Amino acid sequence: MNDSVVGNSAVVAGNGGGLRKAIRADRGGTVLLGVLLAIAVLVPALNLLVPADSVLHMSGYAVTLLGKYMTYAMLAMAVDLVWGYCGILSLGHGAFFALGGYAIGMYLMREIGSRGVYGNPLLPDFMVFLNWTELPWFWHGFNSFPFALLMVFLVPGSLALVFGFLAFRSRVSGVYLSIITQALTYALMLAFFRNDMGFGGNNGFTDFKDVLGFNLQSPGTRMVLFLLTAAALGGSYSLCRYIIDSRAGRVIQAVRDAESRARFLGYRVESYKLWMFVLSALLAGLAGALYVTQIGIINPSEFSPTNSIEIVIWVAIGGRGTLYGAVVGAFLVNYAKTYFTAALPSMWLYALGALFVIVTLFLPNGVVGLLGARGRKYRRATAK
Amino acid sequence: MRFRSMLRSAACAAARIAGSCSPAVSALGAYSTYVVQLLMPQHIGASILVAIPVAFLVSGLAGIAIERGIVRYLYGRPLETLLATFGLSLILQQAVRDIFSANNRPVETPQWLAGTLQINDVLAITYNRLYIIGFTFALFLLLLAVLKKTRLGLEVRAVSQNRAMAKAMGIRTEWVDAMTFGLGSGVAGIAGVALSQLTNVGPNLGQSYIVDSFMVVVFGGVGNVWGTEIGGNALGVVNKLLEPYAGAVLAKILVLVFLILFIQRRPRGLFPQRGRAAEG
Repeated sequence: MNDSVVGNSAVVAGNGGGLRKAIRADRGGTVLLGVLLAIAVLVPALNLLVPADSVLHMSGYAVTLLGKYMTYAMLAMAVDLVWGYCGILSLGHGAFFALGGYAIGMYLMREIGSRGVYGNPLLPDFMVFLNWTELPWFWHGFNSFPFALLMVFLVPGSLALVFGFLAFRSRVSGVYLSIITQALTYALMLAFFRNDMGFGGNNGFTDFKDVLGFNLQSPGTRMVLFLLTAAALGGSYSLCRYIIDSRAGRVIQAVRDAESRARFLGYRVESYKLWMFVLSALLAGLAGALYVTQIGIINPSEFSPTNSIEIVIWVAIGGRGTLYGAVVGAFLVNYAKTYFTAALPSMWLYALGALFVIVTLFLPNGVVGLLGARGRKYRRATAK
Repeated sequence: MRFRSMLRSAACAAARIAGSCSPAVSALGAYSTYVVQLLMPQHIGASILVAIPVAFLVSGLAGIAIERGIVRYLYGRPLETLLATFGLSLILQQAVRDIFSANNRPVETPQWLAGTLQINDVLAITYNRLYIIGFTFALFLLLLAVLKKTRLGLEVRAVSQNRAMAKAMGIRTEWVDAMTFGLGSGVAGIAGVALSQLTNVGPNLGQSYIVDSFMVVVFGGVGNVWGTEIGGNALGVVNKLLEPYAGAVLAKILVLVFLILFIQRRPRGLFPQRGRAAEG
């Protein structure tokens, strides 16, 4: 995983002294990938090898929690890709995340087979409960894992393609675009809440048994899923970084900073925006699929507009337009959420709200920007 | 719903920043109604009339405080404004939950607002809805009059059309900004009073309307009271007409899909602002 990353950045950084240049060019990213690599080595060791009564033992709960944060980090990165680099503030990215989750959830539901409460070999429990006799057409094919995996990308991707095509073609931008993305996820939430849609209504999918024949509850499977998530996070970071540093990436940033000028220079602004939007939706879908496999539940509340707004909060707090900032933000805010909602439940919304107001007012570059400024000041001071 | 979106969007239009109409401000209005009723339990009938100016003042002052404290640092950055107000509404929501508890609070309907108008065997309209429709219209006319006929309205329009020029002509733009925001929030607060007559008053009040009211603004165009009035009415009526055939949820989805398609043809709403100001 790490090797390919360095390779990618090295291409960008130029010919000679690839590794050193790449590291210097993208300090934050190098730190992020280093930390991910360390996690990928340490977590399995602490979880599986260290005995359970040791202080150093990492519980299965902690592993799942960390895995969850990593899927959120991927989602935040997807939002940062469009918001930080294209200037498209999407308030509906939760929809792509949830669609990816639903796609893999359908596979996991079919995989339960006759082990459900009603023991129906073909129909998932909720369909039996609704007195359905046959599988709806869109559920066919989801018994195969490769098909479901394809759908994890295809469904969010094609939604983003159609929606983005319509939106960017008519030059909807700014607040208007944010609002219609919000409407998109809201409409999907309403739709998925309906029982007759065939997606389990407000209960969604849960009670998954296994994936590809491996028991989802066993520590081994969970660890593999965890490592896959870490690899996906690192991989998508490198992919995003590669694209941003490429020629196309420069054009994207030009579009963000001066859309009309980029258009008059002859660039097809709409297609650049559209492809970034689709790529971002694909990443969000993958994150959703990894999330659902690890957490074991997906329901329509994932589509709620507040969820999507919260993703934007992570990115803003971490620092937008950096990619690794989004990851930092997702980890910080979600760790704080886990801590506060357990320790001081009523304080959480105050803290989140205040954090958001303060960050938008005083820290336009987020926590990462703060660290960067500190670092620069420190270096300047030591240079004197 | 229709009433609510109309009013809220009128408020948004007045404040000219879509993000400024945080639903929490309307909730303030609704809770003011509740508090006024608690303070005068002997005069429930009159309490609603007292609640209207109280709600206007409370929400308006809150709006001015928000503008002075946060929004004024973010002018020209609409996306950041949107985000900051989201953060703020989280805080307000939790504050309401802590002060008034997370349960819904009952607001009594006064005697003279209760009852139904029986038109024939099938059709009956409750009086409070009729009053609310009439009241909305009156408020709409009042808002229009303020914007078109008063000194403040003139200054508001001047600032929103060309800030630099307005400033050069001696208009205190900062003051106008604060007043505009206060006015918009005040109207949102009055919407809260009316809403307290229609639904339960709880901390999540307004959250389910946030998308609706944004849609109305998108449909009607930002910064246009007529557009929001017509947009709000049209969307509300279409939604209600579709409901018997498609069911409430599907009707809403259809309206949303329609709006997404509509915005293709008219990305700046039904009644876009014209001229140089529109590009700003």
